[in-house]
Amino acid sequence: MTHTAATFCRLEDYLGELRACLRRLPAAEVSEIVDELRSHVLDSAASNDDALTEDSVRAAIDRLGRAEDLASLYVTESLLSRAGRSGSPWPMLCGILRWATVSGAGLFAALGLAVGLVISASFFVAALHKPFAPSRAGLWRLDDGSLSLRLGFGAPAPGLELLGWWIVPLGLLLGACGLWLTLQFGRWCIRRYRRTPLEAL
Amino acid sequence: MQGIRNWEIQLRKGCLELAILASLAPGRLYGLEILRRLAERGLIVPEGTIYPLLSRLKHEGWVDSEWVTAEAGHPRKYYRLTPAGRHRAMQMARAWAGFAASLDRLLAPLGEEGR
Repeated sequence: MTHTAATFCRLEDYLGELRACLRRLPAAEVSEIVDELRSHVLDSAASNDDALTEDSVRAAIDRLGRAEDLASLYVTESLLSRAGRSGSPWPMLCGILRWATVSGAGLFAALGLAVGLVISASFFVAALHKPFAPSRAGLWRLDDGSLSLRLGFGAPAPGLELLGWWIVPLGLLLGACGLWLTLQFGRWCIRRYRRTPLEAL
Repeated sequence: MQGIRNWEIQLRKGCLELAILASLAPGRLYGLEILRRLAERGLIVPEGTIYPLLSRLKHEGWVDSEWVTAEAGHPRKYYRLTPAGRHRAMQMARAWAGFAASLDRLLAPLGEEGR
């Protein structure tokens, strides 16, 4: 095989670009991806006539596609895999927000997740703020008969307070249940709607 | 013609995971070998898409991988089915066989018209 400096230079430039686009992933994962693609290009470039030339390396790189597009597939797959396994909302939010940028199903999941997280957070805030703003945090029945969950900010609510200090344990319980249901919804969306990377092409 | 092409692409997308798991059933392969095995069976997959999918299959626990230094002089990452992956592939293959048999029966009159 004939290897020239230019042959490897082109390959390393491509892999450097890919590495830069993968910076959101853990360093060990990035190294593994880069090593695998280097191996792929070397095999693919040498597969036809056993001669590794600048042209054959360029053709192998072209067949892999733009580094930016390839990195985007990896990042989406990795974040979604972590989101599916994680029990905390942050990886789930990162993964599904990323998914929302490349697919309609991801957008649907992100909207559902956002609604669930906002409702859960509202119960937590109302419960935790009650000791500091007892006349402004809690559940009220307003004068027009509607219910209002007050988070403890702004003017005191008009109408009748319903739960009193019970908002603290109930708010925490409902917030935790809401968060659990929201994470389950996120996992269900990933299992149900995630497709192959071909979808992104 | 474009409509048929799009439909075919959607069909391939849905089967790619099964195709990759099935290609690994006889033994371990590295990425380029998987692509070649699929191509031999008429399944042309864009090269860049297979690695993120293999990464997902690994995260799911259906394949695992190991680095092996090859005769070519550089290391290659080989994939093999895990027991869970083999079970998954068998379940998918059974579902596919049932679906294909039903569809074949439904399509039989169209085949006779085409003759």
